Amino acid sequence: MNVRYILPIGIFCVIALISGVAMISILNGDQSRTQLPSPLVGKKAPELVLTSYGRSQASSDAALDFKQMIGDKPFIVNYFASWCAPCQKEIPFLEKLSQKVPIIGVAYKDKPDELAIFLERFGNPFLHIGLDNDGKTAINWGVYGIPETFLISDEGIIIIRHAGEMTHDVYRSIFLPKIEEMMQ
Amino acid sequence: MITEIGHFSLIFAFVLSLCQSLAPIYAARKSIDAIHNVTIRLAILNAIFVLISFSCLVWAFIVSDFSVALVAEHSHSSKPLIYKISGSWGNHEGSLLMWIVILSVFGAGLALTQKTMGLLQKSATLGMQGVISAAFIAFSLFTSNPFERLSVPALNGNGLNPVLQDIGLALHPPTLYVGYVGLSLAFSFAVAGLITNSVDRNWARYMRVWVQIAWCALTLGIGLGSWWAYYELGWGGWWFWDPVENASLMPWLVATALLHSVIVVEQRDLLKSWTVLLAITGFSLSLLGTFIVRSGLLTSVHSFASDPTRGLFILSILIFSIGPPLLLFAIQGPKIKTNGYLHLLSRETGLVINNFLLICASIIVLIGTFYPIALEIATGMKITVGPPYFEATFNPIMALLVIMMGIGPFLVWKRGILPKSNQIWIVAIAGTTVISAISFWASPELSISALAGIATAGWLGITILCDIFVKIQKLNRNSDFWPHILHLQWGMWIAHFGIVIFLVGALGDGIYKTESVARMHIGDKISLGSDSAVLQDISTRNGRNYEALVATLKLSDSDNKQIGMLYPEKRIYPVERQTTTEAAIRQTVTADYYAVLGEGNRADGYTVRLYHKPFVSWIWIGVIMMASGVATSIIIQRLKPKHTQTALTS
Amino acid sequence: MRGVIGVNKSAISQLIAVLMGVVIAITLFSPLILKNAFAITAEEMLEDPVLEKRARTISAGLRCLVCQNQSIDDSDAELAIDLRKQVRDYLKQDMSDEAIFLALREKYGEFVLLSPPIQPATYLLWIAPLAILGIGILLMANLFFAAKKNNRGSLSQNNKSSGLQVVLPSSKKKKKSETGEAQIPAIIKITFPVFVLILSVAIYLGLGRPDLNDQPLAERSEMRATAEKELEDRQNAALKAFNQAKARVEKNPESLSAQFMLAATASQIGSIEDEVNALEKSLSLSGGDARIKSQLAEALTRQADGQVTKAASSLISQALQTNPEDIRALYLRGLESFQKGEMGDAILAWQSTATLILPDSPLADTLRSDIAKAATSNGVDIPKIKFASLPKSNISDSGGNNALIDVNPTLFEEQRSQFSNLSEIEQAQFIQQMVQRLSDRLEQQPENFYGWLQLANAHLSMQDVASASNALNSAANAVTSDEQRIALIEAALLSHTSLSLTQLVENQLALLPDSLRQSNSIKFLEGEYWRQIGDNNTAIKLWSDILNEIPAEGQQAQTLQQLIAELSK
Repeated sequence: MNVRYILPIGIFCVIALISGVAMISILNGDQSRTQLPSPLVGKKAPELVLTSYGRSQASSDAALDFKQMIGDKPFIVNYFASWCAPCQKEIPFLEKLSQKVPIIGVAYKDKPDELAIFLERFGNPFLHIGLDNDGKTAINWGVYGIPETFLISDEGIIIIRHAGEMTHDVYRSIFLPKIEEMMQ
Repeated sequence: MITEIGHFSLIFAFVLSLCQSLAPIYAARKSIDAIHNVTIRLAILNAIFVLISFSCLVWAFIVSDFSVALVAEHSHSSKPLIYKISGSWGNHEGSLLMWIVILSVFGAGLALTQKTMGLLQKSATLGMQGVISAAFIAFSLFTSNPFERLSVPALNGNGLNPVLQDIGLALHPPTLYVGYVGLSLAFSFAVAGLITNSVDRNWARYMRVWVQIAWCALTLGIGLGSWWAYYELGWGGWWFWDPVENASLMPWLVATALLHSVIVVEQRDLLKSWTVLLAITGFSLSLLGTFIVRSGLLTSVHSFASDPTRGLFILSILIFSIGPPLLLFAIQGPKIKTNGYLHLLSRETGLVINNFLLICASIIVLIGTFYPIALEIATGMKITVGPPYFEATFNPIMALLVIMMGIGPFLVWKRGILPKSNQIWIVAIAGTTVISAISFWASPELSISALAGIATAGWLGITILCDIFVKIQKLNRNSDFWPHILHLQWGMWIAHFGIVIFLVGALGDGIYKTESVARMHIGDKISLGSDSAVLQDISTRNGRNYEALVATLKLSDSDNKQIGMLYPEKRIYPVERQTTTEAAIRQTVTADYYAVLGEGNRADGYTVRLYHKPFVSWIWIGVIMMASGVATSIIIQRLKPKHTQTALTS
Repeated sequence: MRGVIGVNKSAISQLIAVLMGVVIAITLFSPLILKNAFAITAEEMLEDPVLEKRARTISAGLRCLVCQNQSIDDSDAELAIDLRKQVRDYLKQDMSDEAIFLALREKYGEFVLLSPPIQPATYLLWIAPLAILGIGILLMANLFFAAKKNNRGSLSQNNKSSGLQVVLPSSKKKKKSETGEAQIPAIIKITFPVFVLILSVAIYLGLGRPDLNDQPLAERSEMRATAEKELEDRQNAALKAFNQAKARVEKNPESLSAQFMLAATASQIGSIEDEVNALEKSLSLSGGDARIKSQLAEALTRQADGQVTKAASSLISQALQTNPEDIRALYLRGLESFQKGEMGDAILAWQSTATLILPDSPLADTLRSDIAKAATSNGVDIPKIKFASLPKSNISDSGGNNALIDVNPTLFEEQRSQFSNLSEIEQAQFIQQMVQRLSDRLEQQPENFYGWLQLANAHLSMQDVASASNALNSAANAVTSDEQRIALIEAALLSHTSLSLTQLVENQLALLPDSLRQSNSIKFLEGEYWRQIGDNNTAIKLWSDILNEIPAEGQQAQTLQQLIAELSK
């Protein structure tokens, strides 16, 4: 048999093997495929000091330390905005989660009146809402798009970072188990 | 009703393709030639029913039948008609159906033409085409059915992504698919040739025109995509080494190699196994491109909704369409008789080198595109392989190729170099040096690589012109100028010169472009090189399904004479809740002025970006020329009086 | 012209010269440099040129994470702009280049670097092109040397390429072919198309939906157009009402009813400012009516994006002092506590609110989710919520002597109290609007029984008997319990339109279980029914039956005797 003719199929078999392995690994763990792995997972959550939303009649626009307000309890931080379509779709799942764990919403580059309409229309699962108008807090948290949702333990460590819309799958197989684990 | 007719048509076509693939085997088994004819007729029927099916789908989009899930997902009643139509292929299922349409139309094309082709070969080729057809229709019907219905029809659709609501992008997929799928016919030729052991000059002769058509379409399709990116994406770039762009580039490179290699087989009966391999590879890369886009393996501007099961299906198609043919190649390949000889200094060698460079380039693009995924799977590390990598590796090979293209015409078939070619070398080298010197003198700050680029382009241009000159002169000296004018290689000249034009565009824009950015209030002035622009006004405008913020910019040159007006826009699509920017481009032959409107408001001013891009439209003129060159070849081939065609039975 | 043979040698040397030039070109040519385009705006640039240069260099090495292969220096995306600013901030804080890269890599990972650094992971990537070139050259060399060998021997080889006819197909699947002129067997000619058809139909039945109708947009758009028109009409009507109310207020700025109407219509069109002003005026005109106070508190809260303001808070306290069961005020109190972080108080307040409303009222859902939110943030379990139970029949109350004669519409508490403040015309308008809202809601939820009753009563008070009958009939479809049935019968009888509702009352009576049917209260209703349709005798008979069973000295007995006496006349 002439080597010249065997070579192509030989190369092909090697590549097919590799692709097969690749495909299997993709099917098994496809969540990570669509998002950047965050180096912040497992580390202490960054600061969360923001102007609070809804204080239009309040005396000052002083910033609040949301981490402090929550205290030593597990909580969720959700970066969202009224102009973001997937953020609407994930509200029902956030509402389910809000019944187990309080959620702090960070409105990324949003306007209060549009925020009001958004919350009115789609629901408000947030215990508190902070405004990140310049995007600096988002950068601190390694946020590169919205929505992004973080689960923080009672010791202030980031347990989960999910970038992208929270779908039923994400809610059920990623957040729920971890939350239940923490509650025990 | 109509939708269901379309659905049934597709299913019927599926069964027909199954029969089409099995018929040749049955015919050979039972030695009944008439069944071979059946295969051919089945191919035609297949195409008819697939076309019916596709028409029904387009119909559903036109009348906005929201009981069809696809229409509800991707269309809206307020869209302009043309985008309703193009919306039918602006999604995974619809574009897959379009793929199938082109597949079967090509098959029918073969069935209806090339009557002198051997019956067995034709039937075998169409049989293979039937296999591909059946596989893809199965993929469509069982995993991505465009005719899925909603039992509760939607009140209205979700709308089409505004980015896709654009004429360039409406045409880009069909053109590109004709290219990809056209390669399927070359593939079928190759496999059929292996099976029937008839890889010879006739085989190449019949295959050539299909490769040419596919290559033309692929070239235009890629060019269209690039042009669209240029004026739509708003940052003036035209090629991003995006994974999906690369996915279309790879088959193009292989198809170019195939195009030239097929000529060698037809003329000199050489490189046959290599050509078979190229045909298989070309289509495999087309399939690979499909896999990339539809499986969500790589996210990009092009991503359709990703779905692992679809990815798995395509991967199986990929494996089963590459593996067995390569196995067949291993078994049947040695039987291919090669009986020519290859001289080191000959046109054949030149083409071999050309093939080699093209394949190298293709492999490099392949590695660069897939390396991040491979690395991520192996180690979990996510890296970026971006333009710097490709520019460092791909461009030098292309440069080599261009240089070889200049030498090629002066090599003759079988052996040797064209007589009198010394003078041509001198002219060419001198000319190139002159061009480089002038460029350097005009802009001393040019980098060496930029100069090298200019030199290469000049080299190719001059050599082509010399070649034309010499050949015409030679013809002139013989009698019968006009009848034999068709025998000259117009196609090749036009296509190769198209590359020169393309290079002028790419280099002009790459080396000499200028840019300015500023925050402008109404009345402010921004300068761009020696020109300037004044922001005269910001107004609003309502389009059919969008609202737009329009800036009015007045361009003037250094003497304050008006060059033109630019109207960049920012558009908001309320149904889809998306904003797009529409760059304003003032195109002239010598340069483009390109303006983009950014964020801002009346109080703080608006960010305006202005570019001056010399010769950038030559990029696409060059692409069109390249495609025209091959089209010219096709036409000339048809026009040549029959008796002057090389008889191939000797 | 030089000799042909001589050409070869000099041709080769020339070729070599060209190739050398090529090698030089390769080294010089890569990469084709694109002039550095920048996307910086003038205001982003730092003043210190040294720092600015560093900023540009660092930015050029960072990837724009939401773009295709662009650096943040090149890109116009928001994230890129923010990151550029961040880089400059870091530079102003005196951080070194490495520190800045590190900071961003800590947040975003390795991906944020634009070109893969030459590290062990990417050796393969950078070596690959050279490797390919090398392998390719080797392969080609192999080809040429093989060809050279071939050349020596092959010049004699026949140049016969396979002609147009193939000799023997040698695929393993095929046998030796004969002349192949056999005809297609007839049987195949027939069965083949049939088989194709059957298979297609079989697959189609599995996949297709022939049962569904096409829904071309034409029908739909008509429906949609009507729906949109109705919505528009309603909005116009609301606006018109508002303008009318405004006009009236301008004429009589001191009229409480005018101001109050203005507030109502303003809330309909969503103009909070007007609503608050009108309510404040109404409040002062009414001399501090507690119900208006709670309404004003609610409007003020809405105005403040849902925040219970100080002003609202004091109003709430005042309202609750007067009426501790003011639903609105109670809810707002709960909200206030929630916003102050006093979850326990919030939950208590809301629980009290719940006991005052029905479980299917729209406020109930809000209450449920609010209580849940408060509970989880407090870390306690969600408490059970007790709602008001269904209204009982008036007959079983002692002293319900006004039951049959009282024709007040069954409005909710607060509406009824406001209602009485308005003039007749305004009452009518008020009811009109309420009716509109109600029927809208009922379209969505036709199973809301009490809604239909309410609607029927409203129609009755506007003397719209036909609509009332319709509403009652719809209510009949929504009945789910005996209590509801009884309430329906009552309502039908109260409407005094038994003649048109005969069938309805009869059906409902018949559907009652015997035990209930024999009870005194139902007998009483039945009697009333017979009376209304004119059969006095049966009425008297039924009522007399009741008399036999109840204590003769009680109120009820006396009332009955009176009624019987009247009938007998």
